[in-house]
Amino acid sequence: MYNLQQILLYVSSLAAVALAVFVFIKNKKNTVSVSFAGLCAASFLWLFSYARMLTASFETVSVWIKSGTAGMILVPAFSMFFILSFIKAPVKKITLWVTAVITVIFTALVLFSDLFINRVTINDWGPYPRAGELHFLFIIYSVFIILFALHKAYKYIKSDDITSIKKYKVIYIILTYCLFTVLFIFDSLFFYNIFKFEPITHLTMLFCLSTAALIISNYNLANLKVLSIKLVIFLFMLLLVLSITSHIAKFSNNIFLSNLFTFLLTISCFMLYKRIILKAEDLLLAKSKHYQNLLLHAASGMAQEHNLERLLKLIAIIVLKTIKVNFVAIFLENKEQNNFEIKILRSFSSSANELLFSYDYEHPFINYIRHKENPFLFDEIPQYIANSVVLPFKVALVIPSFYEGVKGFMVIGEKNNKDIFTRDDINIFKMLARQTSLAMGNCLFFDEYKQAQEKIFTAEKLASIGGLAEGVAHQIRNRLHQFSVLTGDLKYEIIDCLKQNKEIADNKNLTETFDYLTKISESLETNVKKTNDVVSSILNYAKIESKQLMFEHFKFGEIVDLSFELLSAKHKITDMGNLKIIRNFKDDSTVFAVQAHMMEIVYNLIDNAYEAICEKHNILTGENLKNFVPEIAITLSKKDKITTIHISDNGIGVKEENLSKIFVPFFTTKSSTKSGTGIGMYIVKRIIVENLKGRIWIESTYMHGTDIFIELPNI
Amino acid sequence: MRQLPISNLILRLSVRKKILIVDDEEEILAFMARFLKRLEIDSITAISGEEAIELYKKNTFDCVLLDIHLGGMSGVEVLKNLKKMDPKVKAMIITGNICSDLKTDVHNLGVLDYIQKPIDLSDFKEKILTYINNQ
Repeated sequence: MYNLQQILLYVSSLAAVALAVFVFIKNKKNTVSVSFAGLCAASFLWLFSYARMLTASFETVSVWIKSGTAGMILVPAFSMFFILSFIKAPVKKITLWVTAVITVIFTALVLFSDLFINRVTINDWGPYPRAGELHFLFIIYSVFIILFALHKAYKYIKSDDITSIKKYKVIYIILTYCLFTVLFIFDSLFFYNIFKFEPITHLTMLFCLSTAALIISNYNLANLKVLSIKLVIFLFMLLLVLSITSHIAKFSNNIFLSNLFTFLLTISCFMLYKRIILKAEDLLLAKSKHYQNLLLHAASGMAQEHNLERLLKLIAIIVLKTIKVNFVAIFLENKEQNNFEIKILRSFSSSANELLFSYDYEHPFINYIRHKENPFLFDEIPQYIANSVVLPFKVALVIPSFYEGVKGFMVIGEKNNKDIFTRDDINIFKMLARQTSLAMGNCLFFDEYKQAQEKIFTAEKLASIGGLAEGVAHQIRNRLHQFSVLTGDLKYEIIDCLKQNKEIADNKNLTETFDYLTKISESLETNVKKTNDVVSSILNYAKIESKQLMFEHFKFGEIVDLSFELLSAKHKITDMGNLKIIRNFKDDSTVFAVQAHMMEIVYNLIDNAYEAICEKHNILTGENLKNFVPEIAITLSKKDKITTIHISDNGIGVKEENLSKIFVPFFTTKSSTKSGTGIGMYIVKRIIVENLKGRIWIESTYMHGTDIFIELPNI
Repeated sequence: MRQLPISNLILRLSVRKKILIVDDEEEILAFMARFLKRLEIDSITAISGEEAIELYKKNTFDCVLLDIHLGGMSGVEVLKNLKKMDPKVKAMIITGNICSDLKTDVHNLGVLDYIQKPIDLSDFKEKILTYINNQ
């Protein structure tokens, strides 16, 4: 019952509906998709009715003819609406109204009179309507309005204010509609029963609709040149195969052989076609292939760049120079400011290279990009978002990169030769984005790695200084050992000599000499001890420095107790006497620092305080001495971010001229008989500043006392 | 003699104490010997670890005064060898830095005491006399 023509018509009509639905899902409701839906509906009515008409009974055939022709009349009108809405052309309302009225008049003519169609021709493939007296008006009218729309579209692409991708789309639509118009007129001629073969309406309409749907839905379009070449080659191949096979079928008697030959020929021609197409593409797209390859190479080389700033510059320049685009800008997330900042902007007109832009997290553009995985054309962005993007250039392509770690996106301007970004381009950029993100991740990692390396290096340096100090100390001690031994030798030799030669005591001169020698040996002994103390304190410091010590909370009181214990051990005092120790902190007050460091600090300061008190004690006489109550006060106070330790004594104090030298290494005012090495305060300062990141200062008045203040950061 | 502890004890009581001094500096050896002589302690000196071991084989000593830093064999090695020969060996160690020099464990090698360099003679005298008198 059904013939091929009818099946194709059914398929086309259903396809029209499907395309309408597709466009609606893809693009939501706007004038373009609504007018396109109208066009589809009209096409459906037209094609479906004509399909029914082919096999309708004599009674119903006129009904299908009328409804189908009504649909056909609507097609040019909706086509015009569609084109005009697509290019957003400003159209006077009167134009639309006139079109609508004329369309209604024609529809009325079809439905209620014989002036448009008055008879049915019964062809061998089925019935077809016959044109009435006024049908020619419809042809003129449809050609006119479609040309009107195409003229508008042409004017549109000639204007400057248009992106190249949009231009490309409009060119596609114009070409499609030119073809459509020709075929539509050709189809209309069937109404005059001129041709003996079947009309090809369904093909025309389906082609037209699907092209439009693809264009609306932002499908990446093939290069026009490539497409036309493909078409020509395809037609040539088709003709070749058809002619050869028909000839063979004509002259050969063996059906099997001719079929086999046809099969083989078709297959081989298909393969040949593919190869030729590839070659043609290579030739035609040589330029874009070239930069695509360059970009690929660049992408793989990026991992070797470890400096983020240089990497970004590199990417921008590569993209700018190889593709030859207007401008390139890279935005990176700035987590502190909660926005995306422009990190680099490179353009052909170098004036704008220093501009600053940033988009907040909440910016609609950022929100839109966040949901995109792949590069996309700026034209795809809804209008209100596109309007919110303020850049001094026309953006063509946006390449988001929201992988782990580095988040950001790149925007690229139009190509200088106004070509569009093809699907291949976008694929390349997709890969580039991934590589870039990896490379940037590398950079960040490398930065961290470098910082870690520096830390390790500092630690190693300290350790090696520690090791060096230890070695030097060892050598010095060995020498000192010898000194000590020889001094002892001298000392005991003198004692022995005096014991054995009693007569020396009688000789005044000899006695003086021996007394002098004894003094020398004693002086040597003290000096050896003092030198050893210096070595020990350096060694001790090196040891503190080289150890990887932990910051922790610990009780300050314990440190103070231990320091006083050490103090009494050092000065061999069993009883602190009338020394008053004031502790201005709670027993459970804690400090956050390195325990060994704090021990060194507190011990050194208390030791200094004690020695200052002893010195004052030695100087004072009479009443003053009686009234002198030695006092060491230790205060610990904490504010939200800073811990302050204040150690004060009422000892001898520091003369004003010496205050500035307190922290200078090997500076000491202590008399040489004491064990002062002059390195204690220096070490304390270094520990506080370098290890604990705090600060220390001194306030002192000679003969009144000294105040030492230490500030440590709380973490 | 070593097989006869009682006769050994008698001998020791009657004889002056004898100490082996090991150091690689001759001046120090000479002084130490003199210093001990003043304390009425006999001593034999050895300039190296090897010599010390040889001497220890031939003689009996109440104590070994041993510098950890020696030219060839280290003090610790010497002490280990002596310990093998005579499990009852007693030694005083002279060292620059107790913590860093004695990384190997010498606790079970019969160490009486450590003497830190540079030597404090009065301290040393006290230590050695305490030990000798207690024996």
